[in-house]
Amino acid sequence: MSDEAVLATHFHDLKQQEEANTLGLWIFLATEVLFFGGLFTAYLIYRSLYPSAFEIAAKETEVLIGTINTFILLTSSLTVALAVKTAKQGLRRATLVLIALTLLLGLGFMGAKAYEYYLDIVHHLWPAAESFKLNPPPTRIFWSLYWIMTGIHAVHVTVGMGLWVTIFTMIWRRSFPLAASSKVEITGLYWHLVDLVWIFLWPLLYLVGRA
Amino acid sequence: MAEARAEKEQGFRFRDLFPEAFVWLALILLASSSWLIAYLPVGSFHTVAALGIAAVKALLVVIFFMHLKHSSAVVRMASAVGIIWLMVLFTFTLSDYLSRATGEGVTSGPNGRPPAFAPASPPVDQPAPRAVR
Repeated sequence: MSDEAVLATHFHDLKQQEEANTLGLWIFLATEVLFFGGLFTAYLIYRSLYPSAFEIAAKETEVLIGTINTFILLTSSLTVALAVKTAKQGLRRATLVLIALTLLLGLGFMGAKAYEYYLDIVHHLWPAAESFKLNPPPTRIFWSLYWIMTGIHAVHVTVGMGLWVTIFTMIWRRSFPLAASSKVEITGLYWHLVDLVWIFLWPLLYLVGRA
Repeated sequence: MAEARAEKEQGFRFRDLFPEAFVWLALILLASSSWLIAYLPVGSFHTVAALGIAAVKALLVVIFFMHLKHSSAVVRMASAVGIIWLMVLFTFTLSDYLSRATGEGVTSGPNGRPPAFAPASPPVDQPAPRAVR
């Protein structure tokens, strides 16, 4: 296995190739911002229409689990940022350890999320259920948004973990030149976006109506 | 070449942790303050504080963890595009909803039907019913 990067024929040089990888990922992230943006817009509208119902509804979220998950995701962003750095330096073992740590943190996040969903169901917070316990009715809108937004975010975390498993395996097998490739970097960009979405979901879904 | 690789494989040094570790510390402190403020009796300041702190955290992640600090102009533009269109989406949607009388204080919906729940506050003036599509 060579340490040299492979230049695709349609690029002028390696720098341009790497720049194109990063740019392409950023354009994808812009579409992701707008994808989640639609949900945030829905939240914005319904919260401005039913502010007190949203406070009543948000009080029922599992704030401790949500906050622990915030700290977990912020920490996973640190391990990813360091993995990108060590990959650039060609530090194979350190990169593997940092990706493994990221995966563990991702598993922790998903585990906490699963327990949280279990608690929400037990506490009758499924908005379509007859037994939904909150009033007035617009509290159901909050809880619909809660399930959709955290659910789609959890899907993104899962996809990110799948990407990290793939990258980990590839580095393990030395199937691409670590320092010369932007694979770790662009996977890192995706992971940071998932963290960014949570940075806004957490105060909007968990910290409302606490005082 | 083999020697060079062996040297590289020496591994991770303590100073490699920075500046990322400082950024992480700042993120944790900001998150903790956001959590604290949520329980303080500060009224409508809650939303401002929560979103302001979230914006600062997002900037830290984007600038330092996503390396926008060292990115080329075209990558910075691509990263700004998502935010710009998001602001367009928010602005035009809200300019519609905030200029109509709907929500918690309204006795009947925009198409003349009664609301799904009894309002807590007295009804406000409402615009003429819109045509039902």
